[in-house]
Amino acid sequence: MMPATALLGEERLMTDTPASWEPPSWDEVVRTHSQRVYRLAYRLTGNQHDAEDITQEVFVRVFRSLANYTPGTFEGWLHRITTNLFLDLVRRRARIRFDSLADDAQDRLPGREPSPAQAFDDTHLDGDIQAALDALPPEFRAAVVLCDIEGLSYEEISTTLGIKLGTVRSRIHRGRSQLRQALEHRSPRRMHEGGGT
Amino acid sequence: MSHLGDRLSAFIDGELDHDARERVLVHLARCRDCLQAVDAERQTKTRLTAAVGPDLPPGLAAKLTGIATTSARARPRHVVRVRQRRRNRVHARRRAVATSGVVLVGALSAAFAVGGGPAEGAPVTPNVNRYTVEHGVVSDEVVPLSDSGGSAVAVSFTVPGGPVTTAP
Repeated sequence: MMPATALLGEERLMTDTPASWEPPSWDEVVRTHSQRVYRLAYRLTGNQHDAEDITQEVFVRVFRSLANYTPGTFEGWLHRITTNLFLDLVRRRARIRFDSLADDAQDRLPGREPSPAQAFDDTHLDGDIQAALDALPPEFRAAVVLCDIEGLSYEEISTTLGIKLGTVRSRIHRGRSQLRQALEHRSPRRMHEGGGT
Repeated sequence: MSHLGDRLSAFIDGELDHDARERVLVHLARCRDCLQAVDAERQTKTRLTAAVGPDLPPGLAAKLTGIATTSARARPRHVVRVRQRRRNRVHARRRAVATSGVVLVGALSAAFAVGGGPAEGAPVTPNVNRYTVEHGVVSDEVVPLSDSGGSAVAVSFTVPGGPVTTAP
């Protein structure tokens, strides 16, 4: 009786342990995922500086917990870290902004003026898209970006953002209609500015 | 305004179940406004999907690779610790399963020893002797007995068949 139990346990143990899997090398992780993480961070933050900061922070966290990571979840994991870092950043800034409103708020309000680097990027990317995204509330922006740019399903977005499916659906809907309005407002101006040629 | 609300987005994203999707299609077949709204939102989505993401800024890839060097001290220790822990856990489980029998036996004998502790000695030896003697009586044999000291003892007793003497 006793040996049979022991044998069963041993056998179950053998099949359950993923002995063959080894974590990828660090260079491999960076090579495979940096472009994707940076792109997501850029779409969320709307500027190179914040996108770089977030990307670095994402990889520091990935590096620290690489050994704990289980195969098959890497991309979801990266989406989650990146998006959460972005939302943390937004909340932190909102707090700072709120705190500083009391005194010389006007001087310290972080401006939305595009830096030269951003202006350069904007001419090389779809600048209207990014500007329209920037105008969205961060929570809507995250849902729309994850859906349309990252191609996640509602279910995946719900997991990534930790919100209900119904909330995902309404955020995407509202985000997308605001986005469409913003694009409609911008497009004629751009055509006008560009001289229509 | 669309009649479909956020079902419009879910429809475009292929996130409606079959029945809901059918109902939307039926509605779209006879509602021009909603059909236009679907077209408009689909265009927005297409534009987003097609937007080219920015390339990694120069130098960022090197910084990311460098994280391994910056945190180099932390990593091996951490990895080793985690792996060691995992291995220990596996071993512990394996040991636990394999030795559960031994542990059980051990626990039982410990319990026995503890339970029998106070009454140890006296009752056991006489019993053995008695059974041996009784066996001797039943089998009509002369049974030599020896105590722990090694000196021979002659035991005599009576049975219905007559006196039987055991001798060294």
